[in-house]
Amino acid sequence: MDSEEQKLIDEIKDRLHNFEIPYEEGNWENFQKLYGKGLNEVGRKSGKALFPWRYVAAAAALIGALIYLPWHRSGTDETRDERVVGYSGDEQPREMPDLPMSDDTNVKIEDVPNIGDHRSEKRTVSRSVINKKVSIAGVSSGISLPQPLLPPTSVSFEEPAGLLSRNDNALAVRDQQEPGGSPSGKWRFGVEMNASFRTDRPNVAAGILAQFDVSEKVKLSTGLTYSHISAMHSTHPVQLSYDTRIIGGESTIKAIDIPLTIVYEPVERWYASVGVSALAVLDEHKIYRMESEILRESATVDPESGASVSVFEVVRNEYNQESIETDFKGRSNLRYLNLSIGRKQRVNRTDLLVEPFVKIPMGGLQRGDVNLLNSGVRIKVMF
Amino acid sequence: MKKQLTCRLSGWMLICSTLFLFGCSKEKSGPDHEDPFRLEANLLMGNKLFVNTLESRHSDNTFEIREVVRKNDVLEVTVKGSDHAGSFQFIWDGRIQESYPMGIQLIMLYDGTDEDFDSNRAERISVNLQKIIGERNNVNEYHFNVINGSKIQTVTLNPDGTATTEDK
Repeated sequence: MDSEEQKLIDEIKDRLHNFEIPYEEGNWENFQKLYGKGLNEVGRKSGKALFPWRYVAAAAALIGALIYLPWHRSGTDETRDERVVGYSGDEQPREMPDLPMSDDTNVKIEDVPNIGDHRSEKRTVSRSVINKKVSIAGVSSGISLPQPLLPPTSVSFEEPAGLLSRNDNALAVRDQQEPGGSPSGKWRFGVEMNASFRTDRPNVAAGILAQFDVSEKVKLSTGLTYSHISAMHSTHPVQLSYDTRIIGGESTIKAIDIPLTIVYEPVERWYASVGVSALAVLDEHKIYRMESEILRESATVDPESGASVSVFEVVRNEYNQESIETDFKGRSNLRYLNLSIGRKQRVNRTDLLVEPFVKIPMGGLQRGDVNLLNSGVRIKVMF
Repeated sequence: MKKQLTCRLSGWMLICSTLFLFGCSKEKSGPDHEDPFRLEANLLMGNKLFVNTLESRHSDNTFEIREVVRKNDVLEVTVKGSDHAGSFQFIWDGRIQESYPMGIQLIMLYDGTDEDFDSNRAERISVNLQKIIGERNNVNEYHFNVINGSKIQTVTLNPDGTATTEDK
């Protein structure tokens, strides 16, 4: 019975396996008409779904790389895995001997057994690192490396225990930052505010700033400042009619100022800076100062002759008339040259900086009839 | 040494701050209010200018006022001694005498170049007095005194249309 059923199944399988419907002309076209639209939509949808994610992922990777790179660059120069020696208790630290070795010497160091981690490692040790003294809590005493033990070339400390642990010392390894720290430690952030007077309205600006310590004396500073600038138009009077003329103008600009400044600090707490800033004008309000002159007649009596006299006098009236046109809004190439000197005062962990400054208009801001030169005092707080 | 440098820097900062503060002073613009007021292209109003010109009526380019006539608001002065463009200015002291003898006084000045001045050339110079006369309807009763700015001479146009020349 089972074998008959199996035969039947095999026979059906064989027949179905070889079953074939002959292709008729136009079948494929009919199939495309029926299902082609749906197939295309599926393909498009999947393409759309992939499209943004690909770019989002790429952008995220790029931003991540940009954020990551500046904070970890040149790590070998600035952050070192140092072998340092600690001094404990009342024992005074002793100067390391001036080792007769080159600045960068390959030294094979085998850690002492009493640390418990008996491993051998090869490192680059510089003279400055060896000469450095760092106190570490928990380390019992200090050592000094005798001069003969460190030859000018590669040295292998195969049996360091006898040499290094004779004062019951322990070697500690820790990451230590060089003076100035890592790039992240070189960044400082703060706020600033400045005021200057060019018209009866003060120019005020406030913003945030970031400073990067290139070296102890040189720093790079940038920021983002919202500025409110008033500027006079130094034009010659223009007679519009016999009794009315333009005698000047005034522009009020609201702008975003992005400075890039080099700060030089030759002596402690005193500095000078020079830089440029790009200005993006958000809003501009321009007015013309007009003067009208009218004749006013008044009756009086001449004191000498006693005659009745009409005396004419000119009454001048100044007023402002708003201008439709603007000078700076929507224009590019608006720059300032920034010069300043200043003094820094440390208050707790915050730096308070006071600096007189002058901003000299450049590029598109340098117009003969609009005087955007301004100077005043800037106050910064750096955290 | 460091102290000296600090002192020097402090001094510089003080000087710079002073300069900045001067730089912050408010700008002054606008005309001088003592300026004469121009009523017409050849008519100025200014009491001080009038007085000063009256006291110095001597010029190398001397002309003579021959005739003064008025046609409504326009005063026509015929002179001998002029340039081809009739470059003259009238200065009004800004006063109208309203009691007898009612009238105004103007100083006439040659305003051209010495080279162009021809002492034998006769010209009729017109000046519009509408801004002085204004809405007055009794202007026919006014005397118009035209003072020669180049020499001592005053010609008065009387209400009846006649002109009187005086050496004053």
